[in-house]
Amino acid sequence: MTALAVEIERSDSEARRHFTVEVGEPTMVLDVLLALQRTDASLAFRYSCRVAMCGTCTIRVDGRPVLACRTPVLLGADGLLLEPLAGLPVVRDLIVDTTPFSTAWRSVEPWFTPRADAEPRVLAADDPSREAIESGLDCISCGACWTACDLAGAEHRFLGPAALNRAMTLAADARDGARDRRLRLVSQEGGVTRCHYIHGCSGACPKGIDPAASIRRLRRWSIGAGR
Amino acid sequence: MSALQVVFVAALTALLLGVVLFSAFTVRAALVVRPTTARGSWLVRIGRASNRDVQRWAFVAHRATGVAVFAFLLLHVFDVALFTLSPARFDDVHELYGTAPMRVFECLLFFAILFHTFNGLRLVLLDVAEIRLSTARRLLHVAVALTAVAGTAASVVILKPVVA
Amino acid sequence: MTQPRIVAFLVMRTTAVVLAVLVVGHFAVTHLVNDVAETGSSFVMQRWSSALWLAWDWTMLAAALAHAGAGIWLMIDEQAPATRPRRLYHAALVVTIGVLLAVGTAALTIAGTR
Ligand code: FES
Repeated sequence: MTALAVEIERSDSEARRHFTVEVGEPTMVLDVLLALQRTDASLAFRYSCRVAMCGTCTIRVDGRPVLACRTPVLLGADGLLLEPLAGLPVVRDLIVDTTPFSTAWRSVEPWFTPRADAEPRVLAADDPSREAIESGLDCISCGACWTACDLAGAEHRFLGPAALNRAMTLAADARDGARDRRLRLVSQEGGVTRCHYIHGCSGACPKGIDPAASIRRLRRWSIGAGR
Repeated sequence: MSALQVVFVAALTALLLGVVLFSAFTVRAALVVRPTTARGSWLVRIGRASNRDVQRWAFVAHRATGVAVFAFLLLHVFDVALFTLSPARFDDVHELYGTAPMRVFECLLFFAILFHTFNGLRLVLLDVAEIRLSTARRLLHVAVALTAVAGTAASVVILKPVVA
Repeated sequence: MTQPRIVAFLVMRTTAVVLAVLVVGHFAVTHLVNDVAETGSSFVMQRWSSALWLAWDWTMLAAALAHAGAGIWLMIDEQAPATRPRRLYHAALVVTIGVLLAVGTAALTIAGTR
């Protein structure tokens, strides 16, 4: 067991910020938070599945947006700094209001709309479009990319990597009946032309998705799509 | 110095100042809005940025160099247009371009042009081909290396007459 | 019909490739091939007597202005979220680009017809 200094960004300026915990290896950041909550019951954070599937536990660890449940604590590091996600309003301590993120997500019509002619119904296992679709399908909407992107924060009116990646997985599907409308939507202000290849999203995604590549793909498809 | 030369130098100084301020604003925004390493003042964080953030800095540098080159164009269009008013007046201002401080400025300008060009061509490449994150990063290293080599070589040529 | 923002994006990328050749070439001719001290009015006069160089310079100017205009327009979109000041900045940008294009085109036309 090793003593680890932990600093937590609290919304209440009176609340305790500095802690020390005894940790062994391996310990996840979420374990640290759960241990600390026994010391200070007022500490607020979110989690649910604990196995990187639900996307609720996203926080910033030493500045980087990560899933707390899947980020191992490095022993021997000079302490840990935990902060809420950036670019989203803080509700309390490490909990943020994800409304801007979900509003952007909703605005690309993130559901499947079948075509009127409804052919073909099934994508063959070797259908080439499967590669593009599956490259972006793992998203758990955890919001790490939103924080990692310089443009997606509240002020810049950018739909953000996750919503555009979702739009890409749908528009890549030959059965998508809303493709034209979707491409028109992402060509508006705040859409695909806002990506400047910072690649913060692709570096941060805990599921290994490359949303920057999805945005570029979507932008290529948007050429000639309009009306 | 003639009156026209004074105007040119004053305008160039003002534009340079604007470019420096804009660059500082952009760098600061990148660090404060989305800090990549959380501890320390924003100046300290620049030093701590890792290779993971290299494309964020490429974006900042691309903006700053783009604005810098445009700022120079703002002045350059006018000093060249002087030629049609009177070649003598054009020569009057143009004399400045050969002075040592202006040659240093020209070297810096060329570095800005080169980075904006090579990084820009990298972005075009990303657009037309499917390129992975790691490859995009490596291409940036290439762009920076090309800028450094070509810029240094050009600086030697530009500065030679005043150094010798 | 392609959406305006996508068109702007395409303009940005096409002019980028054109400018990579024209601007670096321009700098090389005026600073590396010739020393900058020797590029006075007699150099300009000689160069602008050729239609090729006039075309080079005008294309470079127009492409640079289109490129910078599209880029700064986007920067304004990002940095000025409120509608009112944003319109003002956009208008200022269009005027600036227009003036530069007018001055540059006039200079090249006069030089070309002399
Ligand atoms: S708790 Fe579900 S992703 Fe971390």
